Formats: sequence, C-alpha cells, structure tokens
Amino acid sequence: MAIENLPIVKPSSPLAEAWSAFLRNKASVAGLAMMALVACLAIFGPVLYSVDPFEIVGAPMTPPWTDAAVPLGSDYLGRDLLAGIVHGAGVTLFVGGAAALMTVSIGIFIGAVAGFWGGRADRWLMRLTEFFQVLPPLLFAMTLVTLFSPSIPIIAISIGLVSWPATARLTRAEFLKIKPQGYVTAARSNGGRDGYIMWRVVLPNAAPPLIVSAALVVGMAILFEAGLSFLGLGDPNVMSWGLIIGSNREYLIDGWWTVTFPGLAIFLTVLSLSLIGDGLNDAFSPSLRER
Amino acid sequence: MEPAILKVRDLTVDFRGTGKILDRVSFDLDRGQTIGIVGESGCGKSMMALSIMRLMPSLALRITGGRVELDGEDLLEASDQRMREVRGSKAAMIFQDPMTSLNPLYTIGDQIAESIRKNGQVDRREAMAKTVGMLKAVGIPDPARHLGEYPHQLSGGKRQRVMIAMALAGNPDVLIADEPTTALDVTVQAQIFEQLRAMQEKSGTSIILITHDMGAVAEMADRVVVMYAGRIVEEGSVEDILDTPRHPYTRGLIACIPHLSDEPFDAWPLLPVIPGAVPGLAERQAGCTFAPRCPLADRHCRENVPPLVESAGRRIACWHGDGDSAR
Repeated sequence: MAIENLPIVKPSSPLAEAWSAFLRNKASVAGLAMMALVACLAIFGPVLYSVDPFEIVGAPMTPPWTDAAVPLGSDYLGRDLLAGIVHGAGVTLFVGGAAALMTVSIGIFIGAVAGFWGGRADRWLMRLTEFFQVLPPLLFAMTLVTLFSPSIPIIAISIGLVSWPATARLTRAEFLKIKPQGYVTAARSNGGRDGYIMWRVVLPNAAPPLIVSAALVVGMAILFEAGLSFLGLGDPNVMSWGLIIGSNREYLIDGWWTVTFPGLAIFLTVLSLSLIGDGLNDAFSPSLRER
Repeated sequence: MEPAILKVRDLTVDFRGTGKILDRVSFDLDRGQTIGIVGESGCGKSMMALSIMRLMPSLALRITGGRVELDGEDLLEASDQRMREVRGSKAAMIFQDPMTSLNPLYTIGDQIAESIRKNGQVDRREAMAKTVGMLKAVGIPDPARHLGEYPHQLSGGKRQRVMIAMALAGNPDVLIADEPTTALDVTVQAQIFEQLRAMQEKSGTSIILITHDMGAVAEMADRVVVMYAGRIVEEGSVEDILDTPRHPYTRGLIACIPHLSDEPFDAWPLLPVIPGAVPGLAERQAGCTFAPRCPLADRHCRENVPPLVESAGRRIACWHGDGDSAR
C-alpha cells in the first residue's frame, strides 16, 4: 500500500479512549440508558404526572391494576403509589448524589493531603479516618439525624459524614502510587507548586479508580437513605422511595405492592449505577495497565 | 575568571538512622561547562542531583550539612517558595526514563506550554507559539503536528527531546541531566547529546551530566567527577581522567568499556569487571569504601578513610593514588 493511502490515525485523548472502551461494555451501556430514564423520570415525571403523592386519592390498600385512578395501587392511607415513585425519584437521586458528592469530596481531600504530604499529616489524618471507620455507620448516621432534624440536607450530610473513610483510603493509596512516578518529580523539578502538583498532576492520574468508586458511592448512598427511611428516620414531609417503604412497613404482609414497587425502583437505580461503575472500570483499566 | 555558577561544598545527606548517602561531596561547575558525574548504580549520583534541587524522594532522607551555591545563593538556606522559583528557571532537570517522566494525561503541547507559562508571564497563545519554537529547537520535525499528541504516541527519543524542551523552557543556568540517554538506543543517544551541546552553545547553560557511560562522558564533559558509595573518589579534567586515571575504581570503570577489535571473536580478551558490588548503606565499613573490591587495598586502606587530596588541577581520594607502590 502506498504511503498516502495508509489510514490516518488521529491522536486520541485518554478520555476519548475511555469512552470507546465504556461503549464496548454492553451491560454498562444498558445501565447508563436506565440511569438516563430514571433521571428523566425525576426531571419530567412530576410535570407529566402531577398527582400529589401525599393526597389520598383512592381506597386504602387498592391492589395494582384494579383502579385506573391509582395504576400501581395505593398505600395504607389510599395515596397513589405511582405518584410517590414519580415524585420521589428526584429526591432519592438528590440525596444519593449530594451524599456521594460529600463522601467523595471529603474523602478525596483527606486522602490526597495524607498521601501527598505523608509524615505527620498522614499519620494524624489516617487515625481520624480510622476513627470514623470504626463507628458503626448506620448507628452514627441515625444519631446525627436524630440529633439535628430528619430533613433531606441533614440526611445527605449524615450519609456523607459516615461514608467518606473508604474513599479517603482509596485516594491515599492512589496518591502514594502516583507520587513516585517520574512525571511528578519532573513537574516538581520544573517549579510546580504543591497545589498544582496535587490537583493537576497527581489527581487526574489517580482519578480512574476514584471515578469508579464514586459511581458506586451514589448507589450506596441511595440504599443508605432508603435504610434510614425504613427505620422511620427519613424526612416525613418530602416524598422519597425510602419513605414509601418506611411508611408501609407494617402493611407489608397485606399489601406486597406498597413496598415492592418503590423497592424495585431502588433496585433498578442502584443496579444501573453498579453497571455504570463496572463499565467505568473497564474504560479506565487499559490506562491502568499502561502505567 | 568568572566565579563558578554552581558550587557544591561538603554536601552530606543522611538516610534516617542508617548512614550517609552522600558524604561531604564538593565540586564546582563553571559557566557554560559540562561536568560528568560517573559511578555505578547506588553510588549516590542521582541522590546528589535531587539534593541540589532539594527534591528528596523520601522524608527519611535529610540534607544534614554543606552548601549548594547557585549563582551565589545558598539553595539549602532558601525558603520553599524561593526554591520553587529556582526550579525550572535557574536549575532544571531531565530524567532517565522519558517513558515515565511525561504526564500521560496531557498533550505534549500543553505540558511544554505549562512550563513556559510557569516560568514567564506569557499568555496562552504566546506560550503555544513558543512551544512550537522549542519543539523545533530540540529537533522535532513538524512540531505543530506533534503539539496535540500524547506522550504514549511518541518514540523514546522524541519524548526525551520533549523533556529537554520542558527543562529548557525556563532558560535555566544549570541543567541536571540524570542519565538522559540510558533508556534510548545508541543512535538516538548521539542525537540527544548533539542536541544538548547545541542548546548549551546557544544559551550558555551549564550541564551536570550524570551517567555510568564513559563514552558519554568523553563526548560531552569538560570535567569528570567519579563517585563511589556516596563519596567523590576522583575528579579532574576529562582528558586527565580518561587518559591517566589514578584511582583504582576509575581505572576499573575505564577498563570495563568494551572495545571492538579485528581479532576473531574467539580470540577477544574477556571483558574485565570490577568484582563485587557497591556496598549498601548498612554494609559500609570503616576505611576506604572501595577497599573490599580494590586490588591494591591493604590494611591501612581498610582502617583509614583516604582524604580527597588536590594536586595539579585534579583531586583523588586514594592511599595508593601516587602510583601502585604499596604503603
């Protein structure tokens, strides 16, 4: 083949390569699609299906597919389950997202400082991390929620506060791995400031496993919120999937649908987040092997 | 004569509790000159380079004494802030392994532009224009095309050229090259040296060339420092050291260079080796550190550290440095 006929390979950025690797994992693409659906439900659902989830619209404990007014049935008070699921989606995702954001930002900050500076800072921060790690997370979160108020922001903050240690340790481990790399020393020898090296040089190279874990943390936070609501510690004034399960807890035997549908919604959301995390892992592992 | 640009005096580095990685290392580097630092792996060559830049790789390593004067300023006394300004703009470094010394996540254009911007107040567009100029200057053909490429898309030689461009972006007085060609093949090696010499001629940069390759020293250096187990054992002009090496270690290093010969292969003499290996920190004994491997060593050598004695423009630390006569 003549040289001018050779295909031109365009330089591809690491992100573009990761994206194409992600697309090769079919399960993750399905997860991403499902997540997009849930997000659409959260954003547009309340507008399209404007039934108030707290209003009593039918007979109590109506089984699903029997009354057109409450398609998925009603709970022990006669509230529309479908409305609860539609209106609760946004809140559930918000709590999951906010808690995950908090977990990841505390975790990355503590882990990065400890791993980057080492020495005394590392020792103290790791002891702090271990202190938070040995507290039973559910009990600790319950205490926080009871002490303050069972409102959505407090719940998100509590979940963030109890779940950051794992992220911190992962970040620290990645920083310790990246720090001795040649390009980090090279950046220093070129006069790079600590902040620049930490956030612009080390963090991007340490990011792949952190991104994967962040996707999983969102799922974990959603489950955590459901768990708190189930125990009656959710915000009673804001509809969320966990709250539906929590408030119908006692009628589980007589009305399976009251907990099954919100449970299914939680299950599918967390599953799609896990699949996305799995795909991200695939997407970034070629570059992991490379270095 | 102009004063030396870099004066290293009695530089001593301790590894916590175990011993001295560098033991009173002193040398001068004149402006526009190249000094070659040679020695086997583990002799402290790279440690010395990192100490000059104050880039200790571990908290267990501490500079415990000495002075490093760059252009009259003691770097060991400088604040961290000042040190950051010095790095890149007055002293810069290129590393052994061009495969790992570039950040895999940024394009080479971005990386060079970043070091140009860090070392001078220029905006993005100007930095990019300078980057193209730098790439051309270090001998990368068609630089504009390479700007958007990532390190893994370049050959080893090109990556090392990019490293050189990054190191020279701040127009440093002193360039420390830590085995810059060890990872490259021989033809590329020659090109890189040629490039370094051309850049040196243009900008008057002084170079510290760390290597274990005597050929590289012969090609590049004006003066040679031979290090063994954290100490300087011999120092002199490149002619003196290569033609009339006096320290048994230097002689051993030079004897180990393979030579081509016209004889049939079977008749070639065995390549000489220096028996043994550089002692680890914990294994270092009293007396001359080279004594266990030295053909000339006697009891006196094993008990007393030979001082680094200066005479006729060269320095040597050996009890048998005046000739082979035993004491």
